[in-house]
Amino acid sequence: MEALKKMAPLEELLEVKTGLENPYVRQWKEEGKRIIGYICTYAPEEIIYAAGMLPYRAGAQGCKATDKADIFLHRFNCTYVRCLLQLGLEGKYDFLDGFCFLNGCEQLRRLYDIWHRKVPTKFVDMLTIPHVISERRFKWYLDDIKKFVEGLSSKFGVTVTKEKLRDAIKVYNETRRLMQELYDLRKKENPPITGSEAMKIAIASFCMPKHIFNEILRKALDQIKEREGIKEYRARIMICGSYMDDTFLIDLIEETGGIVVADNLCFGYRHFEGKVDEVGDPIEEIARRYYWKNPCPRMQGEFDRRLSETIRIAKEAKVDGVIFERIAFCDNHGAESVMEAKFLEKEGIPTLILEREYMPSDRGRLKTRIQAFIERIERRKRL
Amino acid sequence: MKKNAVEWFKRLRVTCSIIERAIEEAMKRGIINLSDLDVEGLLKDADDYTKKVAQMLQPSTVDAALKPKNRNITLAFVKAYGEYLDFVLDGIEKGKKLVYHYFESIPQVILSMDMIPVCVETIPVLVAALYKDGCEEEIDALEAEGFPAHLCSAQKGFVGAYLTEKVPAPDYFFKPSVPCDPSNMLFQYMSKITGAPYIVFDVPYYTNERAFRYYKEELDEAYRKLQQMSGQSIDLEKLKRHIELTNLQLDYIYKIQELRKHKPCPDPGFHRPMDFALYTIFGFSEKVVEYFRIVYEEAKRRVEKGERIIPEDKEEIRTLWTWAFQGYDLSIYHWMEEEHGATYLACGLTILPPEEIGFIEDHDLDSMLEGLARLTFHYPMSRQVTSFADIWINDFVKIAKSHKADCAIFSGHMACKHGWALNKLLSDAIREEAGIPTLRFEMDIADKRFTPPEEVKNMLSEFFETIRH
Amino acid sequence: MYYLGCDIGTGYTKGVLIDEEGKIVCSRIIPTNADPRNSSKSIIDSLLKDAAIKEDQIKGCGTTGWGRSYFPLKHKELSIINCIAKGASFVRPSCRTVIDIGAQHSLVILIDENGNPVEFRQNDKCAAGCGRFIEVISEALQVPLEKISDFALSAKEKVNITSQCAVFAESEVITYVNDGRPVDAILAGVIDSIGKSLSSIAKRLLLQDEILVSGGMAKNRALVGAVEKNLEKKLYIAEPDPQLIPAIGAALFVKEGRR
Repeated sequence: MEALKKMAPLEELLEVKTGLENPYVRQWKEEGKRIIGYICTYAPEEIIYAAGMLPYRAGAQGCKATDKADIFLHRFNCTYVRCLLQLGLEGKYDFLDGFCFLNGCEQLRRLYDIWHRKVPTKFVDMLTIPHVISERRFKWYLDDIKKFVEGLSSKFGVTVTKEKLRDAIKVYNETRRLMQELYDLRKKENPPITGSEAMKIAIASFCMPKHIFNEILRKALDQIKEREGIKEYRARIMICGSYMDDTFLIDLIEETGGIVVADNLCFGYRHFEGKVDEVGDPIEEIARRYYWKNPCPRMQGEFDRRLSETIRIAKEAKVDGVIFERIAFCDNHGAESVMEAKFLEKEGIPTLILEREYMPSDRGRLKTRIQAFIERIERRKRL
Repeated sequence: MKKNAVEWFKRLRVTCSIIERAIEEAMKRGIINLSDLDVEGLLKDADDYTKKVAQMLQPSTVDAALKPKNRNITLAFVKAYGEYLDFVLDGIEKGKKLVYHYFESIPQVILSMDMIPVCVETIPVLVAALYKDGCEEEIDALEAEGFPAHLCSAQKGFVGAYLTEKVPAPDYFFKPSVPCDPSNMLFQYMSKITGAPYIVFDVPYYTNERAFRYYKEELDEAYRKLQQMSGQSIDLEKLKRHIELTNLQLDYIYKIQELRKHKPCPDPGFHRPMDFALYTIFGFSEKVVEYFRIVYEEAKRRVEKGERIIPEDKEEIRTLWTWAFQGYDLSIYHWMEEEHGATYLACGLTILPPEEIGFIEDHDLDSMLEGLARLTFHYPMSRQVTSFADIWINDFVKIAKSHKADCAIFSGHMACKHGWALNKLLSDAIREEAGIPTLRFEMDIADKRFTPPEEVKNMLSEFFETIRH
Repeated sequence: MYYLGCDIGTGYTKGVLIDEEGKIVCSRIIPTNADPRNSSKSIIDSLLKDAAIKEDQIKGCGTTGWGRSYFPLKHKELSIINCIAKGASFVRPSCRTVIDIGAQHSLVILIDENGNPVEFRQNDKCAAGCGRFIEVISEALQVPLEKISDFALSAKEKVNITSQCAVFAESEVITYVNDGRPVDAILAGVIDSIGKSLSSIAKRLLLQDEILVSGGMAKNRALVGAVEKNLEKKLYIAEPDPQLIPAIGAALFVKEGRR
């Protein structure tokens, strides 16, 4: 499959659509190939790719209401999960051949229990990962991944060979390298790309086969490097948090004069950082990279590591302030954001915590708070 | 480490004494209502602190405790728990190592290492149950730090108590990596701000033998780490003693669970949160075993003599609490029986399946650790919540049938997002397989402000009236 | 001899008088105005006057709703759910589900062929799906409550209200007004949103035909239409007045002398 559109590469990435509206996804299906949905950065995409299937990170863009989902879920559940279930119940995910759930967080893991009972996806699996990171526990995750491979193979009659795995690893490592290059460009004093554009590119990576994405991104990077850097901005912002697959919040920040030059989001940096060792047993090396990468707050006893990562990224990108975003009722990010913010403030880094719903809403309130934060940063700079 | 910040432990200890005296006096004088008891006279020679604490008590709780069907059990509870609190206060005073643990990591091993185990969740729930103002000030103190309100009050209250100097910093935190995100986050926060190391052991997502082996290894490793860090080792004789008491306790618990099958249920509901509190000091002392013996003997006597815990003129409504109890007004369980003939069969915070746990073999260290691992693996809430929804659903459908429940009550704690996410699957299964309706409502286990007691009673009344037609 | 049923809600106090044959003789609905003693007294006086009878001709009074204990005469206090089920079953014996939409609550009740409630679900602690939601919006838009349905039904398009919270929805509405969106489109969006919330609550139970809608909000045809669309089921609006259903049930209970 080759790049379909006749658009300039960067423009194509910025215009990407999700679901069946994405031409690559549509063509993939038309060619009779399979698509496996997944919901967490601990899902080993290379495995799915090596099985000849398209790994598709299931977002819930376009969800207008959660009435169907709320029959099963409750107002105490995060709106991302509710929206995702809503789309599932509405049949919007009927194009998936399978779904890989994980016990990432409390809310998402329950989605498995409801989905496999109520949504007619052919192959629904649950991959489980320990809550603690250490060599000893790594085996549990590796064993579960091996079970997942077996599940895929037997359900769809495919063989996941070592060769296909090594290919997948190469492709994904290339994606990671390219994304890191993009993120490095953002750190410049005059970044050639806005936070919104960077986010769109990250989102695009989830909706198309990675080898095509790599091709387009390579060319787009050339375009980006040609651009003049952005000089007009009031504050360099880093954004941290969890599930965000649209640019609503980043747009608000950048409308108000901020520029988002770095992130620690699970749709952003945390997703593509690190790389898989290309020597050694492929399944084990894939599992290793996923298990040991910069951890999500659901991992126990890793707070210090996450905090130092946040500080490192903030300092490298020379940010003026860090904005933590979290979806209402998210316990992990709800507590993590407060904890990290406390320590960042002690380091002299201004922070803002914003609570939001998954669906874009509440513009006025959020904008007011961002405005005040940027003003605080400017006052501080003047001193 | 602020070792003199022990107000909560002290207050609870004094409370146990006050209630002990009140019940003994009431029994002596044949009093069954708080309004007939001269509390002031009773405490006239007590110190100012005791008098102050007496003022803080929730009258409805003390009143329910004086009732004939509740008082022997409550007396046994305050004796057992009071003795435990003495042990805690004494240990802190002597500089013994303090371990704060989660409610499903029971303390026998920690005790055998001559350390002081304190369950983080028990304390705020008891505070909410006993005092008019509950642990509201402490919860607010934690929320004032910026933490979201949707975290669990069982930890919010405790961390808030630390911030307001009512509990001291421990030497260690000891917790399984489950069952929920809120508890994980707040334990880590407290570890960070106190500087006490956080020993966490992983619990896998399955309940098969592969999972159990993994879990046992994790627990063993956690105990090894605790010994290593503290320089204190397990005293085998001490451990054996606690295991012996644990087995006696388990025996009574299994028998009580069987007796509850009887119609009408012979075991009152007022004391179930006390059961929960004493589970968290499983095998601690003879007085703990004594408590369960009394619960058992009373229930047994009622079955043999045909005594009822509900009024003669009320037809029984047998309720199954498919999440757990609300912990801020215990008198509701007594009121339920008196007003509606509604008995409390079981709940998610107190069920122990004998077929999964059995008893603990004590022939060597490994057999004891294995037995303890099995007990905690199938511990209330932990077993149902840690993995797939099927376990929660199947366990409760099973009890609904075996105990012939007339209705289910999903008293949903607002912090249990995973619980709320399966509430419909659960009530559907109970309706389809046991043929009974479910009342579901929101509440906060240790904060009465979320759903005040009157509101809970209104909802229960409405529900019971629809059953009784 | 007559029987009086009185449903004292936080918004309105409703009363009916039924005769020995169980026929509704007369009825009244007046605002409670935060004074349930007075409003229920007013109801008693009006009903006696309308029926041209004296107090001693009333054999029994049944009360229900939030303010049921404030009723000044000797009375029997009854559960709102039982009264809704009873009243619904009486006005439409073939109904097996009742959706009651009040000011502060939305209830879905499954009933058996004898009018007994089998299971029920209620809205959670929030106004989504309740009359209060519409009242808040009606005030924000300065459109009288009775006109809302007509406005919504005449709209050619509708805005999307994403907030389920009445307070946040109010800000959304104000934003739409400032963006120049037409009032009828906004109201259509609000009605749509409430309809979805209500359907969500309803579907927590396995709905059985026929489905009856009661409560003050059942008079809003646009809302009933929105719920019908979402449930994909036919809804019947309780007659003679959906707001009287609990009061009718209460009167019937005292007539039967049950409990």
